[in-house]
Order: sequence, then structure tokens, then C-alpha cells
Amino acid sequence: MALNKTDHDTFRHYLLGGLAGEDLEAFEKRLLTDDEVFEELLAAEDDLVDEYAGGQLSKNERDEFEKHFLSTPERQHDLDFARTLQQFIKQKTTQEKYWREVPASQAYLPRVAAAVLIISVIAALAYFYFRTPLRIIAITLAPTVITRSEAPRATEVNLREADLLEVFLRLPEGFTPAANYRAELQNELGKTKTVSVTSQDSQSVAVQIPANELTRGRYILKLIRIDADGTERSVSGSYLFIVND
Amino acid sequence: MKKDWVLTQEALDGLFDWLSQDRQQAALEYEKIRRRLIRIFIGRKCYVAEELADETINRVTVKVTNLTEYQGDKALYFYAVANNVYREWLREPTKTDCKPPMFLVVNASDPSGEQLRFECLDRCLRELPEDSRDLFLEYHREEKQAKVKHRLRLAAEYGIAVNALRIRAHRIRIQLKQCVINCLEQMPVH
Repeated sequence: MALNKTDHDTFRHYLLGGLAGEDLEAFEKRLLTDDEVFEELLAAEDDLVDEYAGGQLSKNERDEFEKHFLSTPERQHDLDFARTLQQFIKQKTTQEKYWREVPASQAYLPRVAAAVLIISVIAALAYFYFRTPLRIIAITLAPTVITRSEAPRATEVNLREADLLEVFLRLPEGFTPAANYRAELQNELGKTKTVSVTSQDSQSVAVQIPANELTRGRYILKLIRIDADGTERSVSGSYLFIVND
Repeated sequence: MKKDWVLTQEALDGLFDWLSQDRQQAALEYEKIRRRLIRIFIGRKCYVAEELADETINRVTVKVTNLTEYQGDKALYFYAVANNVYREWLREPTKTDCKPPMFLVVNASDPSGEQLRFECLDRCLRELPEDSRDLFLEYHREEKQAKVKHRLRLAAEYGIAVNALRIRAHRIRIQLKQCVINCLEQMPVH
């Protein structure tokens, strides 16, 4: 039996404790006997939880939701999941906005959450120290927490004369250093690859990326910590930079 | 209620035979009815929904030998028994589990728990097949009115009805929730 808008309204009433008596009995019987209705109800639950987590319910609906819907531990877990999902989607959407819209900026931002721009040319030092013609450009990045309310700033780098880009990823404040790390580089097309971690200390992790692997555009570096037992977890924040040439 | 009665294999076989002559079909039917009874008890705000659903099934199982002439949807017989189970449960003087909690903290959050859930969700999304991941993330992209139009558009792109899209997203969500639960259980405790 095809479901219509009245059915969807009924789902909502049911979930918010608004059905009673014969209406409730009729609805519960449909749940038991109609596969489509049952599955639609479960999907309607997801929508309701998402709306509550997103602050989109009216005051009355919110009251009813808290009084009726959140009455079991299972539904509390559903709410936790919905909140985490919304956070994830927001960050992903804002990251995509970064790919599309963020203008390049050379402004130095003093805030902890902003990217710090330090460009130093060490080609001569590298030549005399390593006796190789390798030209390295090094930058230091601080982790950026991408939010919807504020466009993220990215460090710009010019690689025209460079063989190698060395990026020092500053660890978040209060961060407990890990045994090891690995880093992933994501480009504007969403392609991700692992990049070499060359050194680490309590304050930062260094990665090296051959300059010929970087084309003009925006990049995000994500750092993953590897603990002594082999467990991997993402380090909070993203490291953003733009290759100009 | 017969709290000391235990569902034996023999009794379960009898129930399955009543549900269907095909054993596999009977098992599916059993699971379906049990799951829906749990959902109905949850809808009635019962913390012990599983326990009440099992009690309902136990009672039907006891009566099965007398139900050979029963006509009609067997699920509705379970429903009638479930109503009795629910009423008896409410009448128990020490029973509080079926009443809504007096106070429910809905906005409390555990920051470290949130971060772990976030990391697990990230990991679980990566483990999904690409088309499932894309559909799921696209489905949840917009909010409010924009969400409705976006989902209509998305359903049209996939060549399916909106409710079919909703159900697909729901099924992926179930997978993800279980994956996140498994992931959190493996997380080291600091």
C-alpha cells in the first residue's frame, strides 16, 4: 500500500506520543503487519532525531520529543549518533566550500585556530649541508578547525624553483604525542594519498612531498596518530595550504 | 506472569511450525514479529521493551498447540497478547520502567566521547562502498526546506521514489551505527 502525506504525519504523531486509543491501536497493528509501514517508521525516526539534533523542531515538538521519544537508552544512542553525523556533515560541507570559494590570503592570523604562514628558502643551506642540488621549501602549518561560520585561511606556497616541499605540522595545544604518525594529503578533487612522515617531536610532525607531485591548487593535510598498540586515530584539525605555482 | 517458564527448543520448534511450514520462513517471521513488538513497546515508553516482547512470544508459544484452527494474521495474535502483557506490567506495584523518566538530561554531552564518535564515524564511512557513502552523505547534506527539495532531486537522480531513497539511507545508517558501536568498543580507554 503506497504511503501518503497523512501516513507521514501519523508517523510523526506516533513518534511524539500523539496517538492514543483506537488510532494508536490501528497504527500499531499496521506496524506489525505491513513491512513498508514498519520500515518507513524507522526512517521517520531518523528524520525526527536529525531534526531535533539540528534544532529544527518547534518548542512543543521538542518538549514531546524529550518526553516521549527519548525514553529509552537506545534512542539516546540514536541522538548521539545524529549529533555526530551532523558535525561530520557540517565539517565536510565547509571543507568543500573551502575548495570552491576561499580566497587566498597572506594575512598572518594570531589566533591559535588559524594557519601560521612561515616560508623560508633553504636551498643554499641544503646544498652545502647535503652536497646535493635539492631545493627544499619549508612551511609550518597549525591545525585549523573548519567551521561553517568562518572561512578557513590557508597558507600559500610557491614551488616553482623547488624540488621538495617540507611541511612542519604543529600539533594541537595540550596534545599527547603519539608513538608514530602517518599523514594523508587530499587535493581539490578529493583524491587522497599518503605522504612521508620524516620526523617528529613533541611539538610538530614533518612531512615531505616532492614538488612535482603538487600542482596548482588547494590541499588539506590530515594527520593520523599511531599509538604503541597500533591503534590509529585522526588528530583534530586540518592543515591547509595552497600551491600557487 | 510465568517468570519461571523457559523457551525450550521443542517449544520454539512448535512456534515455528505454527508460523510457517517452511522453517527458514518461520525464522524470518519470528524475527520480524519480535523486532516489531520491541518497537511497539518502545513506542509505549517501556525501558524493558525486549523483555516484554520475549514474554509475549513465550505466552504465544505456550498456547500454540491450541491455535491450530486460528485464522487470520498471526502477527495480530501476538499483538493481542502483547496488550495483556503491557497492562499486567503497568499494574505491578514495583514497576517504574514503563513510565517516562521524571528527568531526562538531553543536552549533556561528553566532549571526549563526541571526539571518539567522530573518529569512528569517519572510519566507518570510509569502510562503506563508495556509492553507499555518497548516497548517505548527499542525503544528509541540506537542512530545513532545502533538505526536502534536495532529496527530491537526489531521488530523481537515482531514479527512485523519495520514500525508497529514505529507506536506503536508513539502511546505510543502521550499518554505520553498528560500525560506530563496534569501533567505540575497540577504542582504548584513557
